[in-house]
Amino acid sequence: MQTLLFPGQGNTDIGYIINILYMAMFLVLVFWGEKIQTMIRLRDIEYALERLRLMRDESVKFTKEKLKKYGKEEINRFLDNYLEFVTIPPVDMDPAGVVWKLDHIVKTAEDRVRSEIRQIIPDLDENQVLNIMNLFEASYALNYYYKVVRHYYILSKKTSSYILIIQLQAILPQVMMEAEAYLGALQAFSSGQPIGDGAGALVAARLMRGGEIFDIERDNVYTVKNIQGRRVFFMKAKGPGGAVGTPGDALMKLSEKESFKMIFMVDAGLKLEGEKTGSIAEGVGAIIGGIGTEKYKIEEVATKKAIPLYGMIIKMSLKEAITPMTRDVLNGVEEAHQLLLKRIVEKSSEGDTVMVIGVGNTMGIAQ
Amino acid sequence: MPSRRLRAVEKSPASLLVPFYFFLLGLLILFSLILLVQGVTGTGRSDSFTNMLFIMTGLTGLVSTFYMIRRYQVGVQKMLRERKMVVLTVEECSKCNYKAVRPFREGDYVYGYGEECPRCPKGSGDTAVENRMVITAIYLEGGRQEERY
Repeated sequence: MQTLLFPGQGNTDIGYIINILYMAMFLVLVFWGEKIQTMIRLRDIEYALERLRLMRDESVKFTKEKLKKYGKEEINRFLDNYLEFVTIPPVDMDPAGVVWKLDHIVKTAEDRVRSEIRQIIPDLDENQVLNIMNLFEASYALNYYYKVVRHYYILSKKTSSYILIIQLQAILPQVMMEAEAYLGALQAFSSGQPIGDGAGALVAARLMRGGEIFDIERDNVYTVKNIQGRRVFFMKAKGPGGAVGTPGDALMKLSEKESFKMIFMVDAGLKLEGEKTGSIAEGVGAIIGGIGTEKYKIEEVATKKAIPLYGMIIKMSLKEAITPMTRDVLNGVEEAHQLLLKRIVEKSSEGDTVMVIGVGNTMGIAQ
Repeated sequence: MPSRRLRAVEKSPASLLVPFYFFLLGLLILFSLILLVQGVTGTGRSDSFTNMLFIMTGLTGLVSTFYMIRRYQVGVQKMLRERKMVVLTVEECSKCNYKAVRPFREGDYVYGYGEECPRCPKGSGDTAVENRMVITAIYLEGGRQEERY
């Protein structure tokens, strides 16, 4: 047999074998190439899915272990049920008033979880209830990631859809990064350590020190201080439990009595890759994350009363936002604190009333 | 559904899995070296293409084995680095400005009360609060959460 693919090798045994192998490989790749690639990609997804399952199980186990000290078996059952808890968003075919409906639904869901935890373990104080809720939410998020990835994995396997498999594989690094961040957050949530997201709340807490603290609306506190002749209201979520508060509701209530000249907001913000953790970005607008209901309320007040909205973002990654606060973030807090005091004096005049809102999860940060 | 084999691998004890992994890598190094030596010496063959094939296969085997060992090393280093993370509590005395840093204890929170100030004399009033330092910061030692993906 004369070799065709690799001329010059002569009619040696090894030459025949190599040529047959190459021809076989060529035929296999032509007919089953896509199938082989699909199998390789599915194995990658399968491995990631298995890691997600382990993370979910680890988080549930960790949460149950932490709750063991209360000696209530029902809390474990409640956690298992909570993992499948659903909050149905309102219909948005007629968008008018949908924000208020969403706000109502989210608050109802939160109230229900809060009251059930309190019912099962009546000895808990408010801060402990909030920290347990944060722990539950981390497990919920991990369970959700696992279930969604599993859904698309099974679907793509059933339909043998190459496009679906590629899409799923493309988003997996991001999903895994977020899942690992939630897993890393468990330790902070269970022991009430301040997390990166609390950077805005920490700035407000530093500025609130020494002032008389008042409660306002759900889970918010504020104080009034005099800064170089300006009446400055400082507001944050009530700590040290893991609360984010309702700054929109609180601002609406305060603006009924006070006429604010300007509003400053400080919050933790997700950085882009390559940006430095703890760096500050200044801007305008309602600087607040979440589902958007609080942002809507703040924008409503600011627009109706023509109050300028200024803000600062302390940049960090998602992992840094939900795990214990790093030294870089803490440096950013210090910088934002000094910058905020400077901006209040620069932008307002003596006798003005100014509002400062420190946004974020105030876990491990009192006032 | 995740394969049974994968689940078994995940659940098998690391103490058995790691030596087995290194045993396989050792075998791979051995075969690669044999191929490399045979390719270089060209024992019993005059065909230079075959020798070249042996050398290439041997080199590829060695490079990939050392790459796998390096990946394992990096993974272990990363794991150890993550485990070392410690959260610290900074306490400050509002009277004498004495500052102390200690590991975080459950119940600590920023602007809560910490330990008694070792410098200030004990007062006659409410000693439960009077001499205690205030927690001014809680942060992660090392301070970096960045990872490569």
